Amino acid sequence: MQQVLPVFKREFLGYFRSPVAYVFLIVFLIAAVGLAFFVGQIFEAGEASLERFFMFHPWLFLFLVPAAGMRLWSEEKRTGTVELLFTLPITTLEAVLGKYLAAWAFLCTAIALSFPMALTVAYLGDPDWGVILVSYLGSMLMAGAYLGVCSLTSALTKNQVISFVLSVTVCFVLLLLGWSVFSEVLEGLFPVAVADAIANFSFITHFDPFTKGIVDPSDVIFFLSLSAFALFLNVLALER
Amino acid sequence: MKPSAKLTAAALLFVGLVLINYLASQLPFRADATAENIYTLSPGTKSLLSKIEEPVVLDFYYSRNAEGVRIDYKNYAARVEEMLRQYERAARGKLVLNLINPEPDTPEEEAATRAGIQPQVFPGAMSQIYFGLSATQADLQEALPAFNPRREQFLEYDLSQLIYSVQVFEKRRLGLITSLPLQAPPFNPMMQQMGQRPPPDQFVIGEWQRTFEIVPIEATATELPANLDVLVIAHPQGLSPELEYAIDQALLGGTPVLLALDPSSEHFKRQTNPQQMMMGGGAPNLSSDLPDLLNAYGITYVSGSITGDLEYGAQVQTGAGQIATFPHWLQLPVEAFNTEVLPTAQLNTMVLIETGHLALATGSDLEFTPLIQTSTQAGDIPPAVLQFGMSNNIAGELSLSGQQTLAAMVTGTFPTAFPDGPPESENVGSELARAPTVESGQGTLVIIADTDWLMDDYSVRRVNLFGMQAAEPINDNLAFASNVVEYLAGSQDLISIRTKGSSQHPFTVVREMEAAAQQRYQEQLAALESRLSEVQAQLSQLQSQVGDNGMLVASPEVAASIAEYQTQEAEMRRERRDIRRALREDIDALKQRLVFTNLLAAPLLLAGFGLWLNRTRRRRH
Repeated sequence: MQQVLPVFKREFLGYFRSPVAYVFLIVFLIAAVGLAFFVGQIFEAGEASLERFFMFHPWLFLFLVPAAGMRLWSEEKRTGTVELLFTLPITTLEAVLGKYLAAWAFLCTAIALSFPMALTVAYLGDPDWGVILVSYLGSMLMAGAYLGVCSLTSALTKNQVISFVLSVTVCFVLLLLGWSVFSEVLEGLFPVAVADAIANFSFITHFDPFTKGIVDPSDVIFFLSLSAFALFLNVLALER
Repeated sequence: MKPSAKLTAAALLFVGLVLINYLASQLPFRADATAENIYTLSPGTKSLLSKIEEPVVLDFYYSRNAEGVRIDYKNYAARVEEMLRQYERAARGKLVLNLINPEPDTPEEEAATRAGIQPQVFPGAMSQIYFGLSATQADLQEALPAFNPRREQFLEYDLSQLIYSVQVFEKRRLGLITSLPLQAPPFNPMMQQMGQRPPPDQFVIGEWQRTFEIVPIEATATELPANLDVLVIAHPQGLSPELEYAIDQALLGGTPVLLALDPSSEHFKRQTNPQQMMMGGGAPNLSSDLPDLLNAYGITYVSGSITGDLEYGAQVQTGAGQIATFPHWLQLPVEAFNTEVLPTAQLNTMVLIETGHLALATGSDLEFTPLIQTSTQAGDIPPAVLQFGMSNNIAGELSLSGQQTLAAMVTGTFPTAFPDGPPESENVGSELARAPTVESGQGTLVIIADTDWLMDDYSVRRVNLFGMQAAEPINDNLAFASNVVEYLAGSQDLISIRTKGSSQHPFTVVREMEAAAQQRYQEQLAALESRLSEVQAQLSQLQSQVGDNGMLVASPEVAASIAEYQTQEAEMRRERRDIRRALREDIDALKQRLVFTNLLAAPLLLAGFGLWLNRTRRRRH
């Protein structure tokens, strides 16, 4: 595990050397703020909370996290550097973890950079800071789970576009599992207990409590275990 | 690794993932990050649970295998279940929790029906769903017929209240003297045969009935029923002198009293023909007062003037679909409430309609604790302004006189209002009349200068939930009503739970700007409104003249003046639109600024950071 940190450092700093990363951050922040103001009507609602800002995060991540994660492994595979990487004295797990953590840290930076929104509601009223902090925590954990999925799909293909489409699809399904129409379909196929278990594998179901200020260990474990699961599969996919 | 080995590993990992998440979902605890601990048991509940003597059995009915239930409902059911487990733990064996899954056509379903659990029908669901709770202690059984995710903030109160209600073997008695139709009149069975449903009580009655037996007392009664735990007097009209004497003696004897008076009852005003009022006929029952009692106690309440507030005025949708601020309809924010006194400590918002104000006369020895106060931008509005419905002019007529008290708690040693003994009575033989007059005594009186807040129109919104009539509180009016009587009658554990978490965090900055703008433009707008209505009157008069002549064409002069007035009218309407726009101008500008800053802030920061990073890297190389 000693090699995780160097990989992490190299990858994380690498983001800030490329203009694409800045474009990504700007698009993310403008989209998040724009959705909150123009679709979520956060100003008109007159409520000093960021619920209307965070409610769009699952949908925003659906496209932006795959965009950030699609090149994680497919790029290395396409250019052949993946072969080079594994000639180094480093295990697959270390490489996967290092890259994943760097990308996650990058996403967390993106989320944290939305702090002017928190300052805005604090200027307008008297928000509940506990709820806001927990919402940020939830958003970062959810981004991590999305990224786990993207890292896995990216390891399955050489082509970034295929990787992107694949991860959007998988994440979309994970997003929709909690949706009522979807759970009805599931109930038609499985017994209710099984359908419920599947429906509970939904990003939204596990993200909602955070935006209300609840830290339920089952939600934290869901996001972390899903990321871990995806990363192990990721290692399996790269192992030969 | 072989592909088959990889597949096996992946499958095993998946099973592990499902298992871990299943186990995690069984964890009984979670952290609550809200400032008011909405999701944690409050000290009130814990104290209530510690006082349970005989074990209480809680039967939680939830159809967990039913199909077609939305996942948010299922999650809420999990939340309720978890809350109940917390209760069970905190009660240390005094609560027995049974989880019951009433499947269709089973003894469990029958038990649910017997317990009074209301089956709910979800659109698209195959069968009825039970999602309720019943509590039993000895032979007392009470139920929450159906849980509703919209009442999540009141969940703890509802649960604690239910547990409390089965332990009160004798309901405490609440005497009610009122001229308002709080309780529905007895229903005519003829109407029922015609398919009409009896009118329901106002919701405040339901709130009180949860823990009290309500004893209605006629205004003409000459004495109070015995053993009242609390006395509520709302908008008293024509009380007999004997009854006033009985109230005085009860108060001095220690019976707590909630007195709601009103200078102008919107409820009765709405039932009155406006023309009758214009004619000076006056409306019956509009205002209420108990001058003999209040003067004797040294409490000043003016029934002739109405308190307006420029800052707390409510936004009301007027007939024309526009939003206007009514300074005489108060939408009180959290700052209006005294947080140091239990009944108002946790209130967030109340609506009071055309209230009066209260004060303690100088020289009185009583202790006067304001419960609800206006902002400093408040003052009297002459009643005539409101009577003739010149609603656009109200803010202009308001003469500022600083912060006013709208509701107060008065405690201490009250002097009797009847130092000369009981009033002359035909009913000489009654026990009360014979008993010697109490000269003074320790009492508790809560007095509020409005009565409309008790009515459903200003406190709840009715919603139709899966075919069932339910009501959602739109403010804390009902909470205040039950807080006060429960505080007065002495069950304080429940009070400390109520309204927890209906915590709203409004944009105070925007509200202040609205109040300031309103004040700035009010005069202009009022003057314009009165000119406009003049022109409109002239116009309609001319037009009706034309109409009277039947098919005849209007004379050129009349036609010309009609055209003239029409242009004037259009011009004024435009002016009015401009003023209304100006009212919102600052707020809209603020929004623009905030959107702009937020959209630009992060990109600018990033660009700066990128440039800095680039430069340092170049220098290093």
